Amino acid sequence: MRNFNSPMGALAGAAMVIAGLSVAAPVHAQDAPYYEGKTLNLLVPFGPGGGTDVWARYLAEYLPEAIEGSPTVLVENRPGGGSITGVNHFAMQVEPDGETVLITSGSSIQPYLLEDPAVRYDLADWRPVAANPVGAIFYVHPSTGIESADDLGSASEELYYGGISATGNDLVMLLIFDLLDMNVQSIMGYDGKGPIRVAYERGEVNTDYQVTPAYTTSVEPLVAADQAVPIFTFGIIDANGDVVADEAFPDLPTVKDVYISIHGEEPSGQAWEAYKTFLAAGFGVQKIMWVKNDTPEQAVAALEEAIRQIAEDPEAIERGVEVLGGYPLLYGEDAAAAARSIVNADPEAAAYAMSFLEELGLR
Amino acid sequence: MLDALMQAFAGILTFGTLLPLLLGVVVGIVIGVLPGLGGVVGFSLLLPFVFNLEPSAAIAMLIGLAAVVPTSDTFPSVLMGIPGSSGSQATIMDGYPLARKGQGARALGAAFTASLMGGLIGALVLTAAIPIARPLILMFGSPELLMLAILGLTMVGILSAGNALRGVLAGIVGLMIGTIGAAPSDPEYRFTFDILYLYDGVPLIVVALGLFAIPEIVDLLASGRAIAPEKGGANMGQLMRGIREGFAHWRLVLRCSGIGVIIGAIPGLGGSVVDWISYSQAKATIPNNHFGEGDIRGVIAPESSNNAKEGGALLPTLLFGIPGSGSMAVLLGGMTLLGIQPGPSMVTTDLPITLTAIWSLAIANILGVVICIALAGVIARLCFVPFPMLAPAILLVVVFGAYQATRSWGDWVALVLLGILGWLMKRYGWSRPAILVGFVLAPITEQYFFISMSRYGLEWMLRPGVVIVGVLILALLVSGFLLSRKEKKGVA
Repeated sequence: MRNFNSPMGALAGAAMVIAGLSVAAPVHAQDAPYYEGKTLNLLVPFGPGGGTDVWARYLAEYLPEAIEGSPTVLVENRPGGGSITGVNHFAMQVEPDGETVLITSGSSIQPYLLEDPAVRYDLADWRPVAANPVGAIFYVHPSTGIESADDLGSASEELYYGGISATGNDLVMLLIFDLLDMNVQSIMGYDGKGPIRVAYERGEVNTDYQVTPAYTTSVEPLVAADQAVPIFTFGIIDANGDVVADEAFPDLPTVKDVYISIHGEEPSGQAWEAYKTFLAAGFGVQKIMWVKNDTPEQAVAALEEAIRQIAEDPEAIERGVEVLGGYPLLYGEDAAAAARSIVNADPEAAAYAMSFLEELGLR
Repeated sequence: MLDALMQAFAGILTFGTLLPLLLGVVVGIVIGVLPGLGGVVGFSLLLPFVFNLEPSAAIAMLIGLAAVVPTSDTFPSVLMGIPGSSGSQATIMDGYPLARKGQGARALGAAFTASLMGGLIGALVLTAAIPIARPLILMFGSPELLMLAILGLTMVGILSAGNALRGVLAGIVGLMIGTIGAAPSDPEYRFTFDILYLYDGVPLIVVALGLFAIPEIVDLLASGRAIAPEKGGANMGQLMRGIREGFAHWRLVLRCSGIGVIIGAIPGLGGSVVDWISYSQAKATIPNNHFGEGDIRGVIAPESSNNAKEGGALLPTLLFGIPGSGSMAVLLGGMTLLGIQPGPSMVTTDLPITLTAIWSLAIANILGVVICIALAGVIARLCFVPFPMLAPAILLVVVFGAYQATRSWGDWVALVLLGILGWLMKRYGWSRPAILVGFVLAPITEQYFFISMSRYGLEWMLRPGVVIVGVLILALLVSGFLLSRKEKKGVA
């Protein structure tokens, strides 16, 4: 879309700017809304059609009206390097004028936390204006004999887990297996969560997790047909950085609850800190819209106000059920708090995760 | 079901649905004609409209696009030897030699007829298979998918019959290019030399354009002549002849459509090898063929399968939310924007959406073929224009198409390097399709091998599905070998 729309949009934008200069010049600068006559680019470091792209396009639909000054809003896809290419581009080549904002998912955050040498960005240089959490549910096949979290240690057959990459969101699951002393054989290399669910249905693996929207549409029918048993949720990270119950599944225990019932004490230590950090990166703030720290306050305020309007617009909420996964769109202090657990992540938590992966022979 | 089917048909015949469908078809035709631009680019052009349409209208538009790209991408494949998109590479093998003989319009006529029938068969099978597809798709575990990938790799041998050693070597080079980038099952990067561009591997379309388009452009420029040095008769007459031939070979169309639907429906194999597999099996099983030298059946085989593939690919997309091809991945994104989550509900509560998709597929195939045939007579004349006059425009389109892959300058470097490789291979008689097949199948083969071994150990080899595909591979190899030996004898 960029190839066609962007140059045209840029032209239109340029034309508007020129028109604005000649016509609106006598008006005081602070009277005009910051985004009037401008073009706002949503930089998506993934190809079109993926979850992050869809999230951006959903916002792009509401932003032109919600932002004061009604800018033209474009989605710009810059895929490559597992999203690192596009995020590096934002870090190195985008002016902090608020006219280009970055949309990330966990795939951009994990390499940052794991100190991938290709990463040329520092999240501390940016601030979030919008964030979107998502929940995840762990479930097993009835053939494992596991009926609830109490049976996790006494499965009647070997447990298999299918994942995509140990340094991606699957790291959270692997950390859980470790925290809960579960003996599971992990098979990495699947194409995506959809193919893994199919592998589950045909018995190639007998444990799996899915995020809330996919769980609701594809796993709940399996539960109804006695083909799956939900065991626990990953939990949600609250503003204080604690793991709390997932409001979408209040009846299921969280990883924290299960840990307490197994070990008889509150979780703590490096493993738990690592879990919280990567839970936040992969799920807690799965999607984030970033601006650079030096962005003019006027621009940030306009964006934050726009996100607030969208988050409270009943029509937008209704249409966004699938896109947002049934969780609220966070803005302002909530978004900042949600992102804090990854921006200020304890370096030791990441170091623990790295050595953990090395021990498993996965890194 | 029949009742619902009719209802969906009535729904699609409204202005509000037909118009978006037509928009999808037109964009799809343009995207297909431009080399290098595939369904994904088309979808991203249409996605901004999705939000403001009724779900059924939006689905009609997106399917309309997906359905006609494999029809119109035939133009550059046949007329210029340049793959119009990643789905019609094999069409080059015989379509382009026909064009050089001045029979481009004939090849186009046959291709469009095959596309039409393939597309309709795809829609038909989709309708019939929807209620029973779930268990069928679930039969394919990682070991079975691995065997299908190996089946694809054996095509290398058939494609390079007579020069088996060179073919296998080229296939290995393709496999090696395919291993560049992130390893499928380990957080490990290979052959990336710290160049970020290589992290995701070289894009398929850049490989295809480099190997096929650049060498053709260079050679034609060097000769300074038109693509077709001599006229092969009136264009309209040829077009009609091709259309008649398309219908006459209905049995081949049927067989290749079947292959297209099945491979499209098996999630994880990817749509880019469908044309090669159906081309190679036709070559291995049709006696007395002149495949590679301008045999019309070599055009019909891949063209019927690549349209049928889209019907098959809709099955895993709608039922499981796993895309069967690149454009299906973007269709999934469009569905999320519409608030439709694919899954079991597509055959129950969301059945109307599914049926709309099926009708759109059928109608778009018909519309696409009608438009393409109407254009064919005119466009085929391009073959008779002296190439130096065409070259700047074509080169521009190819370079632009390659740049669409990741929009980084790495695309151009890769295009030039692969272009040099392709030109050398062409000049010295090495099989370029073998490289492509190896390249496309490298990650899939490795991924399913890794998963099969870590899940089942060596026991995966004993699974019934694995044994069946294994026997099929042997049969194809033996048949190809016998055919080529018989032909050699016949010549001698």
